[in-house]
Amino acid sequence: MTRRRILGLVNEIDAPALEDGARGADADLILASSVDRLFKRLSESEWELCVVSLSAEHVDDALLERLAGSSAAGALILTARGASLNAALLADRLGALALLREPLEAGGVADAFEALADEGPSVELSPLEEGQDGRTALIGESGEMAEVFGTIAKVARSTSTVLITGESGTGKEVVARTLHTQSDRSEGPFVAVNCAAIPEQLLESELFGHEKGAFTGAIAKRTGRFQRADGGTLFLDEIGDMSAVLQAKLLRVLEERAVERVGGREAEEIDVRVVAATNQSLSEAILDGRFREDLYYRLAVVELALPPLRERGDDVRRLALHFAALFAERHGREIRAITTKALSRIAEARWPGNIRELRNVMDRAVLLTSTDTIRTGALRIGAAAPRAASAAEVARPVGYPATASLAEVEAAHIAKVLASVGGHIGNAADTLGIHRNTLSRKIQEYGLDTPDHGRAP
Amino acid sequence: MHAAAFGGVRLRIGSDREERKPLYRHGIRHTSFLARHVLSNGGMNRFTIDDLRAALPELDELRPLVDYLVATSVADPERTWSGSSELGTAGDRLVEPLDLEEASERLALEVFEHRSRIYGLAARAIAALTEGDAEAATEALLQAASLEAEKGEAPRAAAYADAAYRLARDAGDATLASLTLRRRARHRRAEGRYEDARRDYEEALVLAEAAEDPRGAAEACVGAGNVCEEQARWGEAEDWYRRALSLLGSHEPPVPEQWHALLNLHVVLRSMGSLEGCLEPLREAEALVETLDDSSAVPFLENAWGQYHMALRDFDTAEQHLRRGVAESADARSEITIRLNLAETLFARGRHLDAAEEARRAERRAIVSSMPQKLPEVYRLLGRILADEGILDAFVLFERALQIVDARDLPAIERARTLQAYGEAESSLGDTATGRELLSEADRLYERLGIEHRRDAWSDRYQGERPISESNQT
Repeated sequence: MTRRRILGLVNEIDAPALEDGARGADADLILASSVDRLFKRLSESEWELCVVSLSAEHVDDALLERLAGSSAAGALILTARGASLNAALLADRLGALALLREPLEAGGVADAFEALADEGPSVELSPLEEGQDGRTALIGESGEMAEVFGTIAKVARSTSTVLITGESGTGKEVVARTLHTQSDRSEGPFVAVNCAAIPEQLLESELFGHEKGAFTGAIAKRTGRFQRADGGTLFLDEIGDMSAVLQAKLLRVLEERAVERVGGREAEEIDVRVVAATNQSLSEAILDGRFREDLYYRLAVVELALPPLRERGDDVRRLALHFAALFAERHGREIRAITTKALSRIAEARWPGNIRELRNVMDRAVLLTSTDTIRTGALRIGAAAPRAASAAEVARPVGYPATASLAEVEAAHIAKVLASVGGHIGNAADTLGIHRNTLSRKIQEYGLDTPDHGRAP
Repeated sequence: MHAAAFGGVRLRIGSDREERKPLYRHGIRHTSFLARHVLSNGGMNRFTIDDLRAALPELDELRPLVDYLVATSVADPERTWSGSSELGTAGDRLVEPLDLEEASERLALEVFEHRSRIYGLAARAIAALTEGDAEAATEALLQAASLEAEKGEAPRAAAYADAAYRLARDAGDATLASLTLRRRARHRRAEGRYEDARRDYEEALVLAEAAEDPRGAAEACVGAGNVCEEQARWGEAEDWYRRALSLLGSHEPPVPEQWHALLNLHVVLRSMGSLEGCLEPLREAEALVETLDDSSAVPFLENAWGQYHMALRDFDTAEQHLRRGVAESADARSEITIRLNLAETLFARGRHLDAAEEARRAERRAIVSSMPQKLPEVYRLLGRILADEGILDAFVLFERALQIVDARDLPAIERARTLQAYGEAESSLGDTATGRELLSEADRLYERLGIEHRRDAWSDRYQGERPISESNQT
């Protein structure tokens, strides 16, 4: 077995502990004397692990992001002076394996290295089925999904409208596409529209089309999405965001099976099956007067609720293996397996962004893997949000909603630290820099479970 | 009258009405999201930047406040993982009216301070003139121009530089007149007034040569070359850069204008497809930078190497250089431009997720740095990425880019590039009729700008981020 290669950039005072730790873990360690030297080493060869001190000269967020995005850097361990919420959040955002406190101790370093080494056996990726891609493959064997598959099988060949509900990222569009491909309309078009993303006036013209000269600048007749979906399926995503005016127009189209272009005088008959989706509670929206009840009943002839990923048991692993195979093929990487430890980490994560988040994490993991096996160091769970933060989000701790109170942030951080130390209150108190009694009081106050008793938020 | 920043939501009265068709595809203008998001939610919770714009009158005096709210806005956490988040733009961000009272007071004070400084400089210019000191008066007016330029007020900056030029000219000081013309040219270029800018640079060159000011003359040449490049007149641009280098000769000691000209020459040669020929000036620039020990050059050099390797389709090396360029960027403009080049590299490799993430980082930087003029580039790229994935709703991003171009009075080239990207995307998504219309419109604009073929104008796929070439005189 080849010796592991570790690249370090730490303060002089911490170098001996790092060297001892590397020796203890039977690894080769190279210490870079500066940020420039670190990147020079990275450009020359690949490393299994990088250990970087947040207090080293010229180390900042931009540099760390660059490091985290480098496939040559392998896994990342950060070291920091004292306990700091920002450092913990940064480590979390970058997907670092560990955040060690300075001054470093050889024992702690060796433990962290050992944890890296012990990834368990690997699980091989299954080959992709022909035609499977990230947008169409509906994967799952859990009981929850069996129910979904059953409903799809029952309703696919009917012409009923279907309302798909579920949290963001649970795969509503994939289900809509599956309904289409399994239906008698599969030869016809599948047209998707995101109602939340399109401004109201645009949405009307986009859905129904417009006549030439219908308004200033309408220089040509335009075909709407309804007409484009004729003979096929129209998927109206995030329907809960549609305005009241458009809801009324949509209801009319569904009742009359005909659309009238903006500025048009004659209705055109259409043969479209509508599948709608929402991540909102439409029953609440109806009570609030934000959604028409009659439209709801028209759309929800069949209602199909998608479970969040965290409730899908072993499907998380299946999906992870599927996405790994998919992206390995797409990016031309010779990846054949995922370590058991990496799969366990995937299975334990909360996945607030559901399958969309898992897909992004696996896409990145493939790119960050330079060997044939995906290891935990390549997983950037919690760092793959598709939208960039704004200034205000940058200024506040990353990873928590802008509306979170200080208490919520504190509770979440304590839970995270507890999880990272296996629920050991003494170690957690040490990391947080508070007395263990204070920590116990806070755990009680916030109603937190230690990892032994349940999942951290 | 200034137009709105990120999401202009109203009709705009201005020249070139023909060009003002932001919602090209639909021929209608955006209305507010107010009805959809605020009224439909019972006036609660979601209040976006677009809602804000619809709620306030479009007045110059409110611009700092609106810019502040845009910069402190947040992405909607509830949409983080929804499909619509991919299509979200600055206008969809949520307003966070935290500490607004304190902030509005501070912003009002900043406006007052800015005006005070401008008034002070005007007063200084008048006092200098009464004492017969045209040079001091000119200097004061140039400082006022710089202050306005810092605020993104190119027309105002050009007006002050113009006043400074007239004073210098009347005083018969050729060196100063050349300098003021170069400043006026720069601000006119920022306004998209390319022909006026080019004439200014040409006149500035004549004056600098007459005054035996080789650095000033070289700066004028580089400026004229930059204008030519923005019009895709590569050959002329090359001539200008070579002329700048010949004017400086083997200047001793070496001066930064030399590497500025060399780097510009490298970029234009690369744009012309001369991958071999462009290497020499790049290496020379690098050697000069080393001699000068000028660390400000690092991001520009890294960007140049990144683009060079991208042109060679050596994407790995390109990515390494561009990431270094991003990390070394000292200002928002450089960072945004280099980041977008990085995103282009990732997009070219099919790494859509990473490309979109880098583009979103560039968007964030543009927002927090109050640089909305960079957003159309971001949205064009995001639109192309989504179109490449077959997402029909990608048009939302192109429409938003057009809106910003109009609302911010950005140069016509920005509009033309957006129409081109939009047209190509629509065609690839199957709406060839709309695609053709958009491309024809882009061609008409290119023609008006003196660009013969639209392919030549698509320089922001491989942007040549370079230093603004100017001597340190003000």
